[in-house]
Amino acid sequence: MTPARDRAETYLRLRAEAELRRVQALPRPASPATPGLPEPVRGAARLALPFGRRAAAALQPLALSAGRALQPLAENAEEALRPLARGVLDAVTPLAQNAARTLEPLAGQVIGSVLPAADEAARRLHPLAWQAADRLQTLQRSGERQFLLWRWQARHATATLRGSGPADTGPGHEEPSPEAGVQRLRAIAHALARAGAVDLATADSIVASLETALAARARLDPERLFLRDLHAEQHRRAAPPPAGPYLAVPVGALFPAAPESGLADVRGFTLVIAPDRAILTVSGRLSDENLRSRHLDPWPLFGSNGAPGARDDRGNQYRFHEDSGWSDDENWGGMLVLTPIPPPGIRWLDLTMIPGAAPVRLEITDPAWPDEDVPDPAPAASPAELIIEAAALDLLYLAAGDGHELVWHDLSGLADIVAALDDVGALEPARDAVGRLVTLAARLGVPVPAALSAAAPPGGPAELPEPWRNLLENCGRRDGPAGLAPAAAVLPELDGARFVLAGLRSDEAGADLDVMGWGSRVTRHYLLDSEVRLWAWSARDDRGRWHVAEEASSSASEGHADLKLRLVPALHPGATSLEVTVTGQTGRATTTVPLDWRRADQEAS
Amino acid sequence: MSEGPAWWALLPPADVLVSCGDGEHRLRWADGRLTAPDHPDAEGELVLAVLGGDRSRCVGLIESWDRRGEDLEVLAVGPRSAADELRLTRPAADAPAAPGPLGGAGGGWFTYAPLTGRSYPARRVWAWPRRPGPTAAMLARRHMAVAAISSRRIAGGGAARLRARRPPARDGAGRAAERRAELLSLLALGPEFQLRLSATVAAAWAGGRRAAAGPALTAGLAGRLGPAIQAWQGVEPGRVDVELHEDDGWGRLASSGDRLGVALPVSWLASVWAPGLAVVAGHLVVSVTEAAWPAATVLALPGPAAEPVILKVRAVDGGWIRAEGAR
Repeated sequence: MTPARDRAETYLRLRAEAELRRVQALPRPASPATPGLPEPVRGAARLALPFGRRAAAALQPLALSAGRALQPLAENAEEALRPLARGVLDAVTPLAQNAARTLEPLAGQVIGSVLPAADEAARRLHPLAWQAADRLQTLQRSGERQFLLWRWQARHATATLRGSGPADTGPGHEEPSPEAGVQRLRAIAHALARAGAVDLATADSIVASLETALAARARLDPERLFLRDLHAEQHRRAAPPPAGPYLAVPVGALFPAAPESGLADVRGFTLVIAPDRAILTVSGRLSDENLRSRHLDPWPLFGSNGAPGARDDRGNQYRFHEDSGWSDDENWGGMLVLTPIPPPGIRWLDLTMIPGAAPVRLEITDPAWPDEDVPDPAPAASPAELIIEAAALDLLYLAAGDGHELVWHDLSGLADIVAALDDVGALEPARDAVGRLVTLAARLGVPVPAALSAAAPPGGPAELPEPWRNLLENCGRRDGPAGLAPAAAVLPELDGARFVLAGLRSDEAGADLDVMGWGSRVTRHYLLDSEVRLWAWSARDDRGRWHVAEEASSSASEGHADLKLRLVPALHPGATSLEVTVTGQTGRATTTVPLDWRRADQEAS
Repeated sequence: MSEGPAWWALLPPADVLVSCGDGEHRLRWADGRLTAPDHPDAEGELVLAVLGGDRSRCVGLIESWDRRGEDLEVLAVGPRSAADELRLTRPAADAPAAPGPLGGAGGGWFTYAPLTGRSYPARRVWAWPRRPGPTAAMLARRHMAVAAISSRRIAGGGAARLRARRPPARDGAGRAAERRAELLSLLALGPEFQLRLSATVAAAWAGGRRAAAGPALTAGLAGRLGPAIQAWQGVEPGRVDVELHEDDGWGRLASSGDRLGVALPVSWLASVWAPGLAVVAGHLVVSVTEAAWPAATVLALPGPAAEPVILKVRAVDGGWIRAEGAR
């Protein structure tokens, strides 16, 4: 072992020792079973607690980054429960106060699971909680303050039902839980591993030992240990994307919607044909009737007349199947799986989205599907620098949106990582990046922890890179074009992952970019246990406006993920192409897609 | 480095009853070794077990103890001080070969903490149909189920029956769970055995072959020296800088500002810390020069700036006191 590695490993192990001491000084959580609790409330608690604990076990690894994802859910929960609370509050206040006080320590991380008042409350909350779980599982990054914010919001919501305000005035002043402490150590461990200061297996084993030590002292749910082993195993068995050609064919065609579908129309975005699957991304506008009811059938395309299908130039028949979908107040979107996978060499596909309707021909211009034309990835910055820059992109993303979440943004987790890198002598390649981040944070009014300032190079504010300045200049713009574009492109394989762009929807404030990823490193199962951000997305339109993107939602299975990225700020209204870049740990890949805008109801040109 | 008393010289024999087969058997630790007095031919049983025969719980624990005798994970998980209570307990009877969240098959342990049962299926409510990608919890359950099925298949008969008595081969996650279960089963033997297992590991690494183990040994020493120094001088463990002492002599200790720098050999864990000798009569014990339990002669520091003095100490009621008449 080199002295540098020895130093880094010793540092990490001593941090683990310090964390164990810290947790042992914490009071033990109160028992959930308080004698004398009325039976109805105990019953409700029995229902809520297993779910709460189960969800907490699954979510805690991610909870550090829950703030932004859960904020809307917290609001939804509050909105869903308020009418109920108004009606029964008087009757159940004593019970609710008792139950909420009892349940909060255990279920405080799961919004809504603590409401014991009635089955109605549980019924209303259950879907919300699962939404919370789903959203949390898509998260890649964390921040202790965000976790505290989330917990504070949960308490705020439950306090509303108790008829009292939250006892604490805001997040950020509580001692981190054992789970949060483990996450903090894992973040440092993974950062050191990523910077090459210690190998990943050693880093993981140190965190694992701490978890085992905490579980042996009844400070951590033992179930976490097995999940942790599973994730570690998945890290070790990281599978590359399936070998073979990848093809992204722009569609852009507008299809009529079946009368009973609930949609006004349907537009195909992009057909993606990969070695293991073929997927068509589609989007539809909700019909006026559905705009009123907002109870759209999840799969409006699959009505009583049969499923959509296709036929190729060789006479092969295909069928579309349901995959995943989403909807908002006005739009529906989905991914349709085409089976079987079209073979290489076909020249066209006739798509029939409504049985009996005229097919729409999709030309497949390159029958050989030579994705070897995709350029090789370019080298990226140093690993430590990438960690810092990812944090800067977070800030820029928040600033370029509505900016209100900057108030809660906390850099103390990153400061911890930077201090660790500095202590083990691995920060030097990234010191200038720290200076840029500190300058950016100060400019945005985000508090800069002393450890971060101390690690920045002396000499005052750093010069910000041109893309960052551009992003800051365009913060909050709402002049983006409203339209859809196929945005079909295949990116080169990068860090054991393959990404394909499969559709862009622009609005006045930004744009949603559909991305499909292959390889275990793109899936949420891989990301679950990773505190290090693996991918950073940015873009630049041909009118010179820079954009930064973050994952807004995802649906993943083993080895594959469908991502929806949110790009901010708004695309330039006159932009005709977009250069999209994904940065991994060893390089960056770039592709340019035309912005061939179609309004939602406009026929394909 | 001078030869001193054997590292176990101040650790008296310890006994524990464990469930084994249909009854309870005694395990005994003495002179640095764990034995099973109720299994007169334990070695023969071990040989048979290796060949595929039945492995009694007692023999399995001895085997595990020997296997973990150099495992640095013991120092990472084990107790840091006498007040550091591991909330583990032994199973009431031989555990069935059913894997659980805490570890692998059989020989399990459990905590006093309320368990979060997962015997019910988790419902997944999707607002929309999705490709059925497994959640982490689902993967965990599937993994456990597969492991359970594998165990049952292995136990099916014929040649496979012989293998059933060995830990079933698993993938990385399963092996990690089994290793964890094994370690926790040993720690569940009780505080006396926790200290003795920690001492065994420390003694194994005290011989100087610790190139790659330096960080783990340093942390293991720091985690145990910190509370001792706090009890001795009131210095927070976070303000104690610990190093492994590799040369001759007891080591060194010096204060600098509000910090304390300490260098001790890893053998200190085995010969001083494990017997509970770290702080006696207001002194920090740094080494043992003579040992004849319950009496010992030790080298101890009366204060951070002082030179070590020789103390004669005696074990009384589970603790150590300065022997009467000693200087």
